[in-house]
Amino acid sequence: MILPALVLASALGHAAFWASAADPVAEPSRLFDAGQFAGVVSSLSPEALQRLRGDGLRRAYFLLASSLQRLGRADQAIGVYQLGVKLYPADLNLLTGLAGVLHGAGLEDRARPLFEKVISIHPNNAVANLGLAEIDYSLGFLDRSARHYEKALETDDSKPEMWIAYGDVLHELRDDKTAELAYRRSLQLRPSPAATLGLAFALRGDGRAADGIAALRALLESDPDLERRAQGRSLLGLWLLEERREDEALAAVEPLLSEAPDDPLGRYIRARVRLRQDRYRDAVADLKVAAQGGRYAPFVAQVAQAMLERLKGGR
Amino acid sequence: MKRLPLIALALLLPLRAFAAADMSEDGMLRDHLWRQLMGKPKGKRPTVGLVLSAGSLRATTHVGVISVLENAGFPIDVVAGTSMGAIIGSLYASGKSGKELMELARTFQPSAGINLSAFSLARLILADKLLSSERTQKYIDKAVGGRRFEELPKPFACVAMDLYSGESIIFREGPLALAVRASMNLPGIFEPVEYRHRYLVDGGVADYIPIDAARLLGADWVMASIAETDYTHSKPTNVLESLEQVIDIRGSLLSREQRAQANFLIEPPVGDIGLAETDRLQEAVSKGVVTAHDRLPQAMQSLVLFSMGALMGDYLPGKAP
Repeated sequence: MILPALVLASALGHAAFWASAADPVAEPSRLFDAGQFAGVVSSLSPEALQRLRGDGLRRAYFLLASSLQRLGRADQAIGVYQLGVKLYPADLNLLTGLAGVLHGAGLEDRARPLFEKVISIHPNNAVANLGLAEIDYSLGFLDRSARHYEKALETDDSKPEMWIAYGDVLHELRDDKTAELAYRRSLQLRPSPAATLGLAFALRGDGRAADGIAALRALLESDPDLERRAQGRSLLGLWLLEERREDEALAAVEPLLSEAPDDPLGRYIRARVRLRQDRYRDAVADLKVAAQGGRYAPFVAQVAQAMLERLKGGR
Repeated sequence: MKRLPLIALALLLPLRAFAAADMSEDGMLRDHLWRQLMGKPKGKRPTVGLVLSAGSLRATTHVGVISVLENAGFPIDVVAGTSMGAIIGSLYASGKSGKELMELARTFQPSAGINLSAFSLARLILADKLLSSERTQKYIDKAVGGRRFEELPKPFACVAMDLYSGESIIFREGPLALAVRASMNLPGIFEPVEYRHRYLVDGGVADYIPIDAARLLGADWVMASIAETDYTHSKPTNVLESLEQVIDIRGSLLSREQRAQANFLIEPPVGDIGLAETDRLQEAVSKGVVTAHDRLPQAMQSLVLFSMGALMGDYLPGKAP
């Protein structure tokens, strides 16, 4: 979910834009832009809010709610945003802020109508389109999600995360050619493991398995994150099996198995290689270990068990 | 009005660890085995059947289920349905895509398929004369281009009940629209359809979730989309709703056995949507999407495990994957 972070970040630097010499919320605006959110909350006490009117009060609600959100006080932020929206029901900042914090809290049923209201006022609003895209994606409305991402990207195409999210939807829709373009665009803007992995999946989905494997290898070589490298090794092993490159598959998971000898998926991959090599006993030994991994990887364990039963029946 | 300062600029945000792919061990293996299975031609993998239950308006939830399955490339080789499930199933089997079905559901007018005008209902009660469901037949006939069962791109079967014998009759050949009309021919409201010496009414009375029909079409692995009513919360207020509720109660009792015969169940929570609540049709469709999307990984795993025999052959020496 990238929207809440984007919304929060977008507010920075804009508070000062609104401020002027006679501005009643000049000081909270300055504190906000300086990242002193606790200071904003102190300066916009209930008493201070009571003294404000009109545009000053509208902005004060936004600054206060946004600061509370940044301080991790989402419940209070929702309350302040709701008060603001009640008083200023057509204010896009308040509506979007409230929708964003609700979306961030997983309250999609409440966030959706607010995003939709923003879009009814301003159809090309990127934040609202992004919010709806994320909600639709999480619920399974992939076509709608893709359309909202496209709208958001029409307004702002400079965010690599948004291109990745768009690529993910397209990949799930099995439109891997367009997904590839989206991931490549993200990589142009800023290289990242997420975009490279997405690209690898898109290439494989498009029938270019060797290119996908090459992209995955490149990711493994460049990514310092150990956990991701372990995941990536298993993934690489599986993709190599698909290409009947068993020796390479084994080489991909051997480092993983030397660190975690009972890793269910690593054992499964090695068992597959050993079956192809006609090393039946070794394969069964690996599958037996994989079948014990039910707590950690229940599906891997079920598959290993099913294979064991079939091997037993076949010999 | 001041415009929102949109997603402004030069933001450095924490990246997700990976793209949206499920990078759990289970997720990676599922994706791998699924790809292998889908690479097999028909006949080299199990035949997959989709069964669409009865359930009147609630059963439009099947449209959402179909749409998700289609987006995911889930293979559907044969289709079977009862009552509203028969209508949706016949349209899908005739080649309508998930998108087209969603659009049909969005623009659906109940009067297009069923004549339940006040005048018709008054005639039913005052003159004690059952209504004709011929309009349903015409609607279906037009929607499927006048095709017969044998001419459908996907094998399809639907179920009606014979009032003479109490048997459930499975249709899988002959005129399609007539059979679908019979399958959703609510007894007590519509006159039974006479066909091949049978006197046919809604199949929901006898075969609410027609797993047997899908098996007859050759399905090895069956997924059932079920739109059962939660009749404990429903208080019928007219003849139509009372009859529907009786069928639903009977259907629920029957479905207990039928559920056990399916390999996988998708049950969108549409039990509280009443027969007359046409304004909740989109809600039913949406619930189908959300539930199917949520259950999709489990459905894939179920089919993969069922197909281990087909997959294992590739793992042994000398076999091509």
